[in-house]
Amino acid sequence: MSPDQEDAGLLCAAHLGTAASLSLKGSPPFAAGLRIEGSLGNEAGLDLLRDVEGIIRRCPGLLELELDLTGLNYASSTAVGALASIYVETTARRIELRILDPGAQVMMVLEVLGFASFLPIVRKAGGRGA
Amino acid sequence: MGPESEFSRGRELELEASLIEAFLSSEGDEVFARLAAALGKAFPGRGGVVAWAESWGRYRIATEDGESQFTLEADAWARLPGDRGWGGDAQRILGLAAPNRPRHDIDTVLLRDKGELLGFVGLAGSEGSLPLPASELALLSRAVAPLQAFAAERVRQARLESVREMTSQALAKSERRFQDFIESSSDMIYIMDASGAVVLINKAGEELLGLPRSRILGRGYASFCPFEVDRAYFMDRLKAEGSVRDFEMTLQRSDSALVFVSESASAVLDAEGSIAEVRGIVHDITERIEAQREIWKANMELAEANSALKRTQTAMVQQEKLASIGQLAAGIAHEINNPLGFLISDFRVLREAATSVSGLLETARRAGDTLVERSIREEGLDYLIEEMPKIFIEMEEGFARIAEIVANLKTFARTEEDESRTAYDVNEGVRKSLAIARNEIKYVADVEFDLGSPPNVQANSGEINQVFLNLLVNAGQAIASQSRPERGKIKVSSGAGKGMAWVEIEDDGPGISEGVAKRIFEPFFTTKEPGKGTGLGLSISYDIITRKHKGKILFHRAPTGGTTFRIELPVDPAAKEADNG
Repeated sequence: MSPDQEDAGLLCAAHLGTAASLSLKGSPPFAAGLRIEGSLGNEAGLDLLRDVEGIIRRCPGLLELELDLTGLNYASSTAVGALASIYVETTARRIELRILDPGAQVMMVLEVLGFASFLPIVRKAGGRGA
Repeated sequence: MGPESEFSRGRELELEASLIEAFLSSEGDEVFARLAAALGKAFPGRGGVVAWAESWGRYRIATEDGESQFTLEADAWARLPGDRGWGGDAQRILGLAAPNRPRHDIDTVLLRDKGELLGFVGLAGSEGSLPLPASELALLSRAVAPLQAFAAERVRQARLESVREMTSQALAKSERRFQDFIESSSDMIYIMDASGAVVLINKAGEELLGLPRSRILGRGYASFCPFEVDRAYFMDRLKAEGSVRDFEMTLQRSDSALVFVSESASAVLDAEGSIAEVRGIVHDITERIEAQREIWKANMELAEANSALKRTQTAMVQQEKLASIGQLAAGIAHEINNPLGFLISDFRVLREAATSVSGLLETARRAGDTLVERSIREEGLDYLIEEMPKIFIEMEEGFARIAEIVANLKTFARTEEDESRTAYDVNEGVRKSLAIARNEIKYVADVEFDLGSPPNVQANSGEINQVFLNLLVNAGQAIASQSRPERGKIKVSSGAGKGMAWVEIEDDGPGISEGVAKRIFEPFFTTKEPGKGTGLGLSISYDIITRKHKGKILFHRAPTGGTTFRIELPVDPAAKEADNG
């Protein structure tokens, strides 16, 4: 983990099967990267929302938030709903949200829920496809 | 042995033989009725009765007339008054066995095996009959004795059979209960075997998948999963963890409709750790998901609308402020213009007078007027007379500069109505804007011009000037932000083509990153240090050019740095609007 990374206190990382790490850029931070791996069930999804709200509170000058879902294999509908809430929160605060490279299952849930067209999903070059 | 004894012995043997014959000649429960009949035949006037324990506490009883069952607590046997005279119990037992043939007392010989009571053989008397004589009872007892072992075996078999039947009934009942339970579930319940084929499905499963049971059983469960990826992940977790709870996935009905479900399942693993069977409960959450989807969608749309509203509101407030500042600047320019007018007028008078006085003094000196000569020398007027023409030139230039600034301010801040348009020369506009922006540029960059001869456009000059000013100030600040030793360069070009008049403002500053480029026209987006920019300049410029004037504002990022902004304005906006329409 690089010096600007931290994972302490992330609520979603406390759930079985979910790993998460946070990286911040700038001082004070203007960009945050949150990497989620494993699976994101209902409770973990709601905790992810709480984590993001906490980050926004702690970093009032935040301009960008990147959720790296490259290593996320599963997300429940509630967890995907939490992603939608994060989008609502960041939009209201003029923070640019990027949802990076969701896996095929997560992408499928996003599409079934009709969120794929709303959420700012970014595919990494060479990233896995849906 | 007397004749009576011999007779008795003969009867005993005859009874024993008939009982053994009855026993051997029949199978199953029939043996008991045959025994009862043999007893009745051996003791005329009495009815043969045989009872045997079918299972613990439950007995069956056979008479010549029929067969029935009764239940007797184990300790009730202990209460029996010996081998005869059961009274009420006998009545009850016989009543059960032969309800149409009332009998009273019953004389019994109990059958035991290693102390366990297996049943009895008995002789029931008719109403009013005397008890069986002791000798007869003894005869019965002796005749029955050889049957003890056979009876024990039969009773054991009967008990075994009974247990089997009870077990079978219990199993059938349990099975029915299980089936009822599964069928009454509103969730789909299924069992899948090692090959992945469905081997059990309930009614809710038929409804969920839209197929009759006959077309589901034997079919691979995976065939109902349209997205291989989620089923594969589900099976991986099931194998690794043994069970999975509330896993959401999608199933496909026979009519191709997708059903969103939450599944909980457990796996039965074989000795090698492979999945032998999967038992799952599947809850249809499609309605919940659709309701959530609508709510989330509405939330997101609301958030975006709120954000856009805030942006618009802020931009409007800012434009209002800018308009007020423009009015203020116009007012100040007007106020300066009046005193400037008489200052210039007075200056000209003063310059003429001073020139005349200077000429007179010079004439007097040349004429040898020593008084004048001395006075000039003593007062140090030599230098003043010599420098005066230069001072007047500088003053005149200063007045001209003030007049030009005031004129530019008045032009720049012209408060026209939004819709009002006048003929506008983009070259003149960019020059006036440059004059205003001079302070931001003169210390850091040189300005080059390459102006063509674009035709006039119909525009709100104040607004377009504001756009040029923004671009010029931004260019100067971008160059200044590099703190480089050499001066930068700003190139202003203009021209016309394709019905548009255009102006390009190019700087050799640091350029803009891709991330910044995406947001460059967003209100309040700024890369300048706090206090140096509101982040509104380009968003307002964008609005002025694209929405209000139907033009274009473009920018180009050079790979080596530097940025070029290009403004295009339609020469005939009405024609342009028609084209767009």
